[in-house]
Amino acid sequence: MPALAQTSAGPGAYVALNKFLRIGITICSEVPSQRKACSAVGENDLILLEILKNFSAYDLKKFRLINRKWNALVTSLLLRRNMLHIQIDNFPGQKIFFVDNGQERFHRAFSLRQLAACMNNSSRFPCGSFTFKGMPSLQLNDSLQGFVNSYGTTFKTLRLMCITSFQDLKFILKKTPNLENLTIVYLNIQNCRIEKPSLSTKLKSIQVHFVKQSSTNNQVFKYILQSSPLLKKIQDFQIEHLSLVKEVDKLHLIQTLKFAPDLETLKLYKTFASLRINLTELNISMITVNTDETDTNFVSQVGMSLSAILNVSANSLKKLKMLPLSGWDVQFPVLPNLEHICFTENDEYIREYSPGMRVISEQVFPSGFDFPTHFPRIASICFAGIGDRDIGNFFPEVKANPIQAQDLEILTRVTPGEICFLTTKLSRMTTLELRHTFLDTSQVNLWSLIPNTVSKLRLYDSTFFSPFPVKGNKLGLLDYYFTRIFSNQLEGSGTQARIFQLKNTEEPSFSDLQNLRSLDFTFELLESYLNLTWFTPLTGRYAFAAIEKLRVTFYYDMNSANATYLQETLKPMSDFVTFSHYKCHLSNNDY
Amino acid sequence: MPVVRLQSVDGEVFPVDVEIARMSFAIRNMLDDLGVQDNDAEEVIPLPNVTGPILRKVIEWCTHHKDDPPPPEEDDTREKRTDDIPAWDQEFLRVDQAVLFDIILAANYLDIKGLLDVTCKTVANMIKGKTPEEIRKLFNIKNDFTPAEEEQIRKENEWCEEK
Repeated sequence: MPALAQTSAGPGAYVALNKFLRIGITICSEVPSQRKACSAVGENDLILLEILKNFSAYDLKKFRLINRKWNALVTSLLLRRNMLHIQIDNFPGQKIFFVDNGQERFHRAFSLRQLAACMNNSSRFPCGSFTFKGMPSLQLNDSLQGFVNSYGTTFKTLRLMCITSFQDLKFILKKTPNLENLTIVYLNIQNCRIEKPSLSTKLKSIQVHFVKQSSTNNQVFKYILQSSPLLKKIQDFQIEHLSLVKEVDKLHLIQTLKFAPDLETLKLYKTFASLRINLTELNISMITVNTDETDTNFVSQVGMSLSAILNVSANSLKKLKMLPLSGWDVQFPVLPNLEHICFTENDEYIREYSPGMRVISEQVFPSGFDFPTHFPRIASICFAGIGDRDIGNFFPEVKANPIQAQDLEILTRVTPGEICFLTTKLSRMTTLELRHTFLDTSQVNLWSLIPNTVSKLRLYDSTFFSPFPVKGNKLGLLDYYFTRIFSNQLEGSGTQARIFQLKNTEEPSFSDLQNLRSLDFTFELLESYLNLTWFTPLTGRYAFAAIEKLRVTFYYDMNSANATYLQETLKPMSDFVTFSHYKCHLSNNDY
Repeated sequence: MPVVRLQSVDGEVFPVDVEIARMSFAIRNMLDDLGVQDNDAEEVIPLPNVTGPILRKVIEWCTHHKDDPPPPEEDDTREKRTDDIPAWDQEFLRVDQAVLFDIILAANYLDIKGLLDVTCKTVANMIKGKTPEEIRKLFNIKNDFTPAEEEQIRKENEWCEEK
């Protein structure tokens, strides 16, 4: 028999099991090698769970089909980790379908009745996370109401894109007694009487992105808070709710704050700073400026409030999403525990009603700011948008200390010079992601810009801007780019293509990245699924296989209507790459 | 450096530095519970679930990792990375499949978190890309589903999207 008891407990149970282990020393006499070791591993729930923790939800779904035992273990893991999701959209005829990142690639439509039937026949349904999209009122939708009524007890996470009726909200909270996480994207309930809370939910986390400001909506938010005695965190906190959160004595649960001051709310941010709440995440999302003569103090007031908030949370902040802040009189403290910083689009986020006086400065940080000193433990830096700004302005006055960050994400258009600048500044970088950069493959040799410290590279189809393929060309769109082998150096075509004439080239190619251990290439653009050949085995043979120990994974949306075509074109690459499903990330941007 | 003597099931005795032996929480608890002092060099600790060759491998791993910092708290909500196995460990685990599985059993029995973690990641990498049928073969598993049950799981999977 195996050494340990068969248990579904997690690794935290090791210590508790030690007592058993000690007893085992005296009572267990069987030698493991007498059995097939692999069977023994497969029979030990604890070990199996340790192995399964290394897999994505896509793989785990497959593993449910192995046998009953694996199904039970995997389903528990999927539910505990909240890894699966169902999005229900409201269409005429009450059809529902899944939407991937807002792009309607997935056209299979099912009825809610079919979903209900599937859940009804399930011994244990693997998903407790749902999004209700595009339905202003449950009252208008009997079948959805019936669905919540029947299966609400299985909901652990619920995302409501829009809620306009208090009765709906009350109904949902009542019928989902096990709900732990509630997100409301848009709360807009018209005048109605909000009764005193009579429910006691199990909610642990609440997040409301946008609230139409009215006393009714404030009352509704208060109603949710008062109905949730187990609440542990309030995310995406909006400053307008400050007094009512204080009223119900839950200020200490605020973890993430959206900083978006205007003339009306600025005073509230000042008050927030004085309450000394330790934030873990700060999202400086929009500053609305009216540069009329009445607002001459606004800029400095914004700076003072933000400085105070940053100072209070200096030790607790782990994530910061920010706009360029120079010109706003912000005193930037040292943030010793900050792990992640994301620079967002700038000018679009700062509204200037009167463009006469420009308050948006070219500089990103206030003068005297030193990146490595202010963010000593920074692990990852993301550029989601830099606008027209010079990239050098993001790292002013960098002294001798290197920037610690190992992960760099560039999610916006940049020049080769800017990539080079960033990779030089981040001398310890090991992971690089380039997405939506649309680098011109005829102009930019990316491989010369990537430092040899990089071991993990994440590229997308949107990393490159490639000209359309020439008819009769033997190469895939990116073959030359990866291999630096010209079409006229080849004989044969497709999978049979071979080099017959080698040319010496000094040009750096992908295979120069000899320390690379992992390449993820994701196909996310609609065009990628239509009639394009991105790679032929030439890249596999002369680029991927030329780097020892490199693991290449191609990600694509296996549920896409056009997935089959892409799959066919990529099939010849299967000797060199692994294929995987492109995960659907539900972000704040998908509404 | 004080030494303890670990005895495998087949009678082989391995003198090991106490600090290295204490990387195993099972041995650590035994030493504490039995009141074994650092200078009790003659005390033999029997490990009836581990064979000599496997115990030798385990000791080799612990010796190499003796100065490692304690592993970070696990984030139970996220998929773990499997591409971060250190080169030395990769080389160390380049062994027969049966040996690898025996090391996993030993790491679990001796409660050595780091070794269990890295061996499970190695097995995970072996499983990646395999079909359910191939995994059944690897672990010697019998498919005990009825066709109706299998069909039901397929339907459930079809409904649920990965986050």
